Amino acid sequence: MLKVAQPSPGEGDDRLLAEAAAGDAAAFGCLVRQHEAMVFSLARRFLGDDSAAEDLAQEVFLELHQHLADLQSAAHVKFWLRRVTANRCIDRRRRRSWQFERTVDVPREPAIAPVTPDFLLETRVRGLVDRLPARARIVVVLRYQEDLDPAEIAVLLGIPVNTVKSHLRRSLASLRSQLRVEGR
Amino acid sequence: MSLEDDLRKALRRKAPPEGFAERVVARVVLPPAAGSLARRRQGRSPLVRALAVAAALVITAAAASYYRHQVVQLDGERAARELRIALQIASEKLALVERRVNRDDDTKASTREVPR
Repeated sequence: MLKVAQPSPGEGDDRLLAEAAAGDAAAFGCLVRQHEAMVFSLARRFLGDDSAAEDLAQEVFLELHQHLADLQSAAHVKFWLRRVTANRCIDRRRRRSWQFERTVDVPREPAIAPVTPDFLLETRVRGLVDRLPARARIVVVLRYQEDLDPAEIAVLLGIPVNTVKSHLRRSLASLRSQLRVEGR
Repeated sequence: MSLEDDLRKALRRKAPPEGFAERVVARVVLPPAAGSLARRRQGRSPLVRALAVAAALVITAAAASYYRHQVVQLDGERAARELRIALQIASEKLALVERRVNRDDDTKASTREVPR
């Protein structure tokens, strides 16, 4: 199997991008390593299982490889990855909408993991986020997983800032009331 | 703790399965092995495509010819069936007329004999 080096902290991200664009597979591997958790987590949050999330994440990185020459900086790469992943997640979700929809996030941790109140609460919160409509869900995930502010989310998804804010407001209100009903 | 903090904790990033980056790079470095159906279709030569089109045309023509043959055969069978029915009806009518003629002849013969 091919070995991909871990990206070193001091490594110039823009230089890495230039090398990857020039056809350096190792540099591309480092780029993948830098962003794999972000892309995989976004996909997993949407698709619900590791296998489907890995498929989607691989497709996103293969597409990135084809577009390396169009990207100007490391920041641009991050923006591009978030946007393409978000759009693909929404598309994939729409296509799968007729299929069985998981509404509860089944914890994949080993059975011996300690079942603490925090763990149960996180599982419940994830389950409630999974039930949000696709557009509202991606907004919530980008806000709280990726820590983006509403303006950045608006640019990323190509929607007005007020729409992002309204999605966030409504989603938080809905999550709050459901947690209250379920006896938080 | 606020709901926003709960969300940040619940939605924190998760690492992909072991070897993810290696699998992506392998697909980039070795594209033919992982080639999609679409890419394989794009790679087919013009000769193969022409043969596929020709085969499709031949199959379509054969199917049309078979269909026409079936239609003619069914028409013929229906005409034969109708002719048989017509002959049967005509034959029954002739038999009926013959019976009546014979009956009339018998009646006339018997009335002629009575005065004697």
